[in-house]
This record gives sequence, C-alpha cells and structure tokens, in this order.
Amino acid sequence: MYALREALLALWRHPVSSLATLTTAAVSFTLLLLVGLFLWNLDRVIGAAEGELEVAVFLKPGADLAALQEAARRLPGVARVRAIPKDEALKELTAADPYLKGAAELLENPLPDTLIVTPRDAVALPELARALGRLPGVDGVEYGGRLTLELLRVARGVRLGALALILMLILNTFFSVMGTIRLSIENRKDELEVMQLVGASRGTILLPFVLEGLLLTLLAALVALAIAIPGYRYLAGALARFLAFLPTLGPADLATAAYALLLLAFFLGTVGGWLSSRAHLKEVAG
Amino acid sequence: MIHLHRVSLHYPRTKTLALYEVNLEIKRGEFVFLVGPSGAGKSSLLNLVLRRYHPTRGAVYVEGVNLRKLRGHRVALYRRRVGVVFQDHRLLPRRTVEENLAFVLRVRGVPRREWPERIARVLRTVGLSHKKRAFPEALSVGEAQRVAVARALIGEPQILLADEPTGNLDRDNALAVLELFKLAHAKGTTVVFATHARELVEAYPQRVVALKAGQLVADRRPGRMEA
Ligand SMILES: Nc1ncnc2c1ncn2[C@@H]1O[C@H](COP(=O)(O)OP(=O)(O)OP(=O)(O)O)[C@@H](O)[C@H]1O
Ligand SMILES: [Mg+2]
Repeated sequence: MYALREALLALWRHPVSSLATLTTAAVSFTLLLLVGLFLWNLDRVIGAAEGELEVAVFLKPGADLAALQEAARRLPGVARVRAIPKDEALKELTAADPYLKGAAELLENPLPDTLIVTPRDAVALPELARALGRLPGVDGVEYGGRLTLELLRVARGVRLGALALILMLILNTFFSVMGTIRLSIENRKDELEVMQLVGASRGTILLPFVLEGLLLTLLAALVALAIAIPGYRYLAGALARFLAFLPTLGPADLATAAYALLLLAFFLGTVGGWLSSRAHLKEVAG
Repeated sequence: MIHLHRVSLHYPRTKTLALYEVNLEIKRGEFVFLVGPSGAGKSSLLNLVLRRYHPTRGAVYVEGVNLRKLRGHRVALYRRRVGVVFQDHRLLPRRTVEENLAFVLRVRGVPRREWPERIARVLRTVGLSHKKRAFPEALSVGEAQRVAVARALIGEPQILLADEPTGNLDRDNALAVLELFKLAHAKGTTVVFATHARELVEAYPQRVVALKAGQLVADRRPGRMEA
C-alpha cells in the first residue's frame, strides 16, 4: 500500500519522463503485438505448407523395399519413411479412380514399389532428394512444390527479420523503463539517504521503484492491447476478403497473445525497475 | 557501548583531516556533551557512529561489534537502534510531519494501530501537535528542528545522536528540548549531544568531551575537576 502510493507519486513527480516512457512502451508493445500476430500467422502457414512437402522414391523392379526403407531412414535429415509396395499403390490408385479398376485387372501391375520420405526440414528437400536418388536400387525420385519451397525460404527470412525487430522493441522498452527509474532515484537522492540512515531496509526503499516500473509497463500494455487487438481484427477482416486462406488466428489465439503481452510487460517492468533501482541506489557507507 | 579506537577520518574530496587518533569510550546509559568550535569534527564523529562513513583509520565498535564489519540488512537493523537528529534536520520534504514520524515507525516494524498514539504523544512533548499535517517547508527552522527531535525519539532508540538539536532555538526552547533528552537519558538511553551552547552544558551536569581541530582535547566528568 505504502509502496504503491509512493510509486504513483513518483510517476506524478516527473510527468515528462513518465509520459515519454509510457508512450515508448505503448508504441513498442503495439508494434510487438502486431508483428507477433503476423509472425504467428506466418508460422501456421509455413507449418501447413511444410507438412505437404515430401519426396517420392521409385524403386527398380526387384529391389528390396524393406532394405531400402531402412537405408533411407538412416540418411541425415529424414523424419519419416513410408513404404508403399506396388500392390498397395495400385489399390490406392484404383480406389481413387474406379474406371482404372477394370484396366488393372487386364494388365500386369505397372507401378513400382515406392518410398515416401518426409524431411525433417522442408528447405533441405532438394538435397535429400539427390541423396535418395544415389541409393542403389533407386530408379528415380520426384518431389513437388518448388514454388512452395521458394516461399518457405522467403518466409524464413521475414521471420528472422521480424524476430530481430521484436527483440529491439523489447530492449527499447526495457532501457526506457530503466531510464525513468534512474531519474526517479536521482530526484530523490537526499531522501533515500535519510531513509537509509533511519534504518529502512533495501527492500522498503527499492519496492516503490519496482512498482513504478511495473505500473508504467502494465499501463503501456493495456494501451497497446486497446489499439492492437481491434487494429488486427480490422486488418484480418480486410485481408480475408482477398485471401481466403488468411488469417488463421481465432479469438482464443488473440486472448493468448494478450496474456503473453501482459506477462512480458510484467517482466519488463519489474526487472527493469529492480535492476535500475538496484544499480543507482547509493549505499550509505556500503 | 560505543567505543572509538584510534579513529581518524579523512575526507578525500576536500583533503581535510576531520578527526585524528580519537579514542573514546561511552558507557551504556551515559549522557555525553560533545563540544568544540565549528569545524572541530563533532558532526564527523556522530556520522561515524551512525555508520554514515567509515573511519579512514581505526575502528568504531558498538557493543563490541566493529561497524565496518556490518553488512547488508544488519546495517539497517543497527541503524534502527539509533535515533539521530541531523544538524540540518533533514526531514523528508515530500511528507507531512506526521508521515515523517510514521516512516520511522514503519521502518522499525511498529504495528500500525500504535502509530497515531505514539505520534500524538511525541508531538505533544515537542509542542507541535497543531503542525502534524504541515509539510517541512512550511515549518519555521526551530519547528523543523523540534520535529527532527521528535523523529529521533519516536523509535525509542538505545542510542541517541543529536547534532546541535537546539542550534536554531531560543534559550527557553533549547532548554525544553534538552528536557526531552534528559527524559530519554533517565529511561536508560545512551545520548551523545553535540552543542555549542554553554548554557545547556551548565543546565545538565554530565560528561563533556571536547574536540578541537579533529582531536580530543578534554574529557570532563560531572563532579570532578578538569582532566
Ligand atoms: N562531507 C564532507 N566532505 C568533506 N569535508 C567535510 C565534510 N564534512 C565535514 N567536512 C570537513 O571536516 C571538518 C570537520 O567538520 P564537522 O562537520 O565534523 O565539524 P563540526 O564540529 O560538526 O562543525 P560545526 O560545529 O560547524 O557543525 C571541517 O573542516 C569540514 O570542512
Ligand atoms: Mg557539525
């Protein structure tokens, strides 16, 4: 109670700095939230696209399916290998297209034994396909989605950039909070010395500053939520009219994002306030 | 209780030797006037006992504990046993008289329900009950000094350090403040009282320690002739 009142008073005592930090933090958090939501969407799209990327490996007649499956599994970067014997492949084919059924009964099965290989990392798909092609007993390999692969590469670059931006926004907020707390401490140097001399513990002296940092960031987070969530909804709604497959985040995901931001704000405020006050509080004859 | 052993204090910033080879032993429950001309080192000595500074050489012991060895929270615990009146009163500027006093009680962990009663009592003794909602800047110098005395007394400390607590008071008020310290002394508090005022020393015959240019030049006990 006492510490909270002190923290509020402190914010009030240097309104310009408080407001500057509040604005910085609010802008940072808003951007952070929008970029974060964009990134999350991107990740979902990437994940979906990645799942579809696999290599089909066709075996020469007479090659040992089980042995090759084992060999493929041992290659680096392989997540899963599914073996499809030619009979089964035919069954799949005729099930998909009943007209072929009659034809299949007349001819000998023309399909080869096949391995379906899923890579651990989709971007490594071409290399993996080449390695699979070099295995003895392999007739040929095939994989689709060259465009998807290109998109994946670009998306990864964007993702890295967005992460760097997020990191910078977080640091910016953090240092801004620390600066305000520092000012708060400098403003009250004499007072803090007297407090120590009458026997106040470090905790009693520091707590108001930690709370000051916390109030700043929580307030900023609330402002950011008030701007970013409706903003995102509007943008998403507009986009959905053009690109049916985007976006993929629902209300529950937005709530998760909001909690995450509040948690981040809590962390930045308390840790920033604590570190700054700890660093700038002069111990009397420490 | 308080023991200064060959204490020297050198302020590096101004290159002053404020205290030089001071030996002083103050017993529990003793009342000591600390006298000497301006710049003699009275405030410096009190600040050493408060552990505001460390001596450059020698050591300050309180109840056998070297103050330099105190660390972390034990420093705060030690200071809670000491009541102090600063020469320039140093009240917390953004708090009312009442809040200044409450702060000491909070720091010492006195239960909140006891605060109003204790604050009222100590303000009555310094005659400032009507000023409890005033901020320090709205007090006269003498009033601020009396609040500072109240702040030192309210925590019922074992040791009272007073740095010219009557410096800005007229004779009657000065004698009234001295009465407060006599009262605390009568209850067993150890008091170190720095002053220029001869009439106070005469009004309460107690031990008198004189400093001059940082050195201890006289130590007189009541009932005895000058040492
Ligand atoms: N914080 C400080 N930094 C540097 N020098 C100081 C400091 N405090 C005191 N001094 C110097 O140390 C010497 C002793 O000062 P001190 O304040 O202890 O004297 P005093 O006896 O209390 O004097 P007064 O009666 O005027 O209060 C003086 O020469 C003073 O200038
Ligand atoms: Mg002095």
